[in-house]
Amino acid sequence: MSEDKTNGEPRSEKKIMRCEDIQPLLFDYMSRELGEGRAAIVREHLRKCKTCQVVAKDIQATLDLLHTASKAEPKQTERLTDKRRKKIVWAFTHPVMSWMAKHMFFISVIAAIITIISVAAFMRFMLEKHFAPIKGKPITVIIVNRGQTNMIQETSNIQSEVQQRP
Amino acid sequence: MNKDSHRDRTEKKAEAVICEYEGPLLRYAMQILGDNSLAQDAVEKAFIQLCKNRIKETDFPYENLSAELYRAVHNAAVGLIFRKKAVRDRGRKIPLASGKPEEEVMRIVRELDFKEQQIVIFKIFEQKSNLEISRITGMNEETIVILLYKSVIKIAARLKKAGLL
Ligand SMILES: [Zn+2]
Repeated sequence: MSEDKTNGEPRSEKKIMRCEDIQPLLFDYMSRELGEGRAAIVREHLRKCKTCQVVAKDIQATLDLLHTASKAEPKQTERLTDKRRKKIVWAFTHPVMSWMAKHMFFISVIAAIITIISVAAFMRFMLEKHFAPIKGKPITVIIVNRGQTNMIQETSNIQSEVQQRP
Repeated sequence: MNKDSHRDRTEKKAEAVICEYEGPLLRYAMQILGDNSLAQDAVEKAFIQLCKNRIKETDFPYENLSAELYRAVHNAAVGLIFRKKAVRDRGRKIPLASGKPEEEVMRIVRELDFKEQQIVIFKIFEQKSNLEISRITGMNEETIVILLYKSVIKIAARLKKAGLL
């Protein structure tokens, strides 16, 4: 693991000699991940600095405890259950269905809104078709009323015309 | 293209990706959650999340798949932790640490901030390099070094307080 071995090398030695610069490097120093140049600086600092020696000791003890605790963890299963595997593979092979299944609530709400709008539009259409005033070109209608013959002509609204007549 | 053969190929790719990543992801989820069943939930969620937008034959599997899966597992695990906490707050029984030193140590790790926890798990338990961690978390390596140091110091202080160090 050498990716970060040389990272940060541009820092001047003078600057890196401060305790607050040394301490963050202690972990990588102890796990031998620090580049040789920086490792030498840390080593040299540790030789002289009691504070950093204490911090290094604490870090080492903490790491030991963490490793022990990690090993004592209940063993996790290495594989997903067959049921879950099938579910995942299905999701991969049916991405749209999988998306729909995951967003069932959202889809239900959208479907309900579309249904309500469609029903409302259909009802409005039916109402207009059967009950709304007829609009369009004037026509001539002959109404026979108690033996009299009335004629409606050149009107744009037959219903209102009929209502006006006794 | 034949739809069935396309589906077969996708299925094989999905199986291969699951086989390759399920072990490390389950281990990672287990370290965050400390519960096998929840870890399985998190990994399942991560895979399903992944399949949503990444199923084109040409670019699957792709370069950052591992990092993306770890991120997805982390997010799923964080979501599950919040749910678990909510359930616990409602007074239901969720197993807590029994008082054994090892469990106490892991409890301390799980109580860290999510970012700190993530770094500690990757670096100390999974022994990933700073570069790998950087790819997964999106943090730069300098930040990772500082965050790891702060996390370890924080854990050390809590261990001392608990009389374990
Ligand atoms: Zn010092």
